[in-house]
Amino acid sequence: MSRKEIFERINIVFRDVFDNGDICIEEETTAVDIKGWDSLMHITLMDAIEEEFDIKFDMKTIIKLKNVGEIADIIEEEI
Amino acid sequence: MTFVSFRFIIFLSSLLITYFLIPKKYQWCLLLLGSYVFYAFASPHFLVFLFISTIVTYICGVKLEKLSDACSKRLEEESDVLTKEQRKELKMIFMRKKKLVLIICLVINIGVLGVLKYFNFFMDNVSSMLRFCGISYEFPNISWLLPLGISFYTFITVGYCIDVYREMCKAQNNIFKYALFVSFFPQISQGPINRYNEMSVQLYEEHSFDHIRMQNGGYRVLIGIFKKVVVADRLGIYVNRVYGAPLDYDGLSLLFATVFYAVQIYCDFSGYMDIAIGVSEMVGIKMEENFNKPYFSRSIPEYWRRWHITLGAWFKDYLFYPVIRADWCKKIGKKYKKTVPTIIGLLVVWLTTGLWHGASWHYVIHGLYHGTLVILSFLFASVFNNMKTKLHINENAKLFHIFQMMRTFVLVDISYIFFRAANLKEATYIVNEIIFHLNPSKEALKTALLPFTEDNTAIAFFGVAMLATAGVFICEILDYNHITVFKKHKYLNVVIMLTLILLFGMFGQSSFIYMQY
Repeated sequence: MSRKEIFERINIVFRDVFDNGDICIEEETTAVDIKGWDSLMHITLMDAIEEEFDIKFDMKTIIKLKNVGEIADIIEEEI
Repeated sequence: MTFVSFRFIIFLSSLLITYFLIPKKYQWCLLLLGSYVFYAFASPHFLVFLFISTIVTYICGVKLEKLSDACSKRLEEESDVLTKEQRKELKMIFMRKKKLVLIICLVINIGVLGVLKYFNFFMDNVSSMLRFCGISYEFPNISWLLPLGISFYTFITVGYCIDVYREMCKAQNNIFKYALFVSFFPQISQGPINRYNEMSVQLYEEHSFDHIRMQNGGYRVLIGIFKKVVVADRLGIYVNRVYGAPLDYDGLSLLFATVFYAVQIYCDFSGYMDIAIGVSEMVGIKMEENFNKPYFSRSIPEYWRRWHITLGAWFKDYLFYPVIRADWCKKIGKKYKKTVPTIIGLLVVWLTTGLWHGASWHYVIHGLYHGTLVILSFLFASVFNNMKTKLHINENAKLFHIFQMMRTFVLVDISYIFFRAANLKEATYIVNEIIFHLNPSKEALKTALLPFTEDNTAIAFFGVAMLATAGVFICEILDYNHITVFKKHKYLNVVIMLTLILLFGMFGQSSFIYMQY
């Protein structure tokens, strides 16, 4: 799966979780850029991405993730 | 020895002079010695519990690190031989061993905290349940004092071990260096609940004398002392009198005391943090901020991101995430609804937050009250958003922000009734009086101010308290709006602050509210 495809699928998950069809994620997108991305939504988002790509994040990854680019890196590694 | 005492001034001055005179490579040793002296002055008999926590978590940390290294070494050595499944299996074997070490660490540390803090509470409840079942048996209460800062340093040490377990930081192999991380005197009695990753490098590196840092740290200390002795302790006189015997006061006095308590606890706790962070800055160590203008929050979840920040972050990383990521919780989510694990996680966190503050049902109610509000905000977020759209409310309007801030303050202040009252019975009495027996007449207002001094100087006393409170919050409003007027005239501010502290400070009341937790 190409990085572009990964981003497209992550973007769908983001729109679904945050219930916002206007979200367009980029490599550098962080919690500050998306309204409502707090600790509660963060864990919901991680669960949804895990389900979408059939992978499992460890706790270190969940806590330390800095931006969407890092999520894509881990997905690339895992699948 | 507390931060607002003559003894602490002597202690800090001697420590700072020695700190910048001795060879820099020994600075951390001096900090360790100073931290233990500080703790011994405050709580000499309880050094043993600090030792136990330090030694147990040190050993567990080293053991966890060794297991992680052994796992990585095996994986590297056998990288050509092992299949993906075998690698996973090997990782699982080591993970199980690490989990066992972590569980031992948690049982000992949380066990000590649990027994010392909750034994009597637990036994009282067992006795009540037996009475309810018709069996009359009273378990004897054991009278002991809670070791200073045990709730804080237990969380610091446990957090360290979990971080090593998760491989988020390397274990410290030098027990003395590790002991400094646990006992560092600005954080030991009331936090902030620092993380090893953020503190380790700073604690052990060499620090040169820097007059800017000393100036900034000193100024921060003065702000903290002002908040504590001019605002918190002054309002505390009123609050203690009214909440000490709530049945003797009318609804208006109880309302005043409840609002004053919100200001008192904020100025007391954040004042302590200012002193702690300022002192730490003087020795070149930057600690985590614990407050970010909480009374300017527009919602309860935001309030908890601004109040006691390090405790909230601790619960999030070490309790909330593990609970809702647990297999059993996920299964419940799949069976019922996706939001259920989040609600379970939030309930666990808020129940624990309540109990963390104290072994009493009114703390539990306080925790669950906030938990319920956070859960409601989470569940009905989309409903509230739709309502705002339908009612054409401009979310960015200043007036709407002010309304949200006031609403949040009122909700928080209601919770303080349960937090401050001696027990549930008094708390419900206070709520009842404020709601149904509020009589805001001119006469009632005069009487309501009396608890300040119980004579005709009460109005003057009240005036000083209000001016000082206004001073604190005006500074916060300016800071909230990114206006930096006061930072430009630091020396003048220092003089003004010192004068105000000396003129209006309430000295002699040196203990801080959060010390009891």
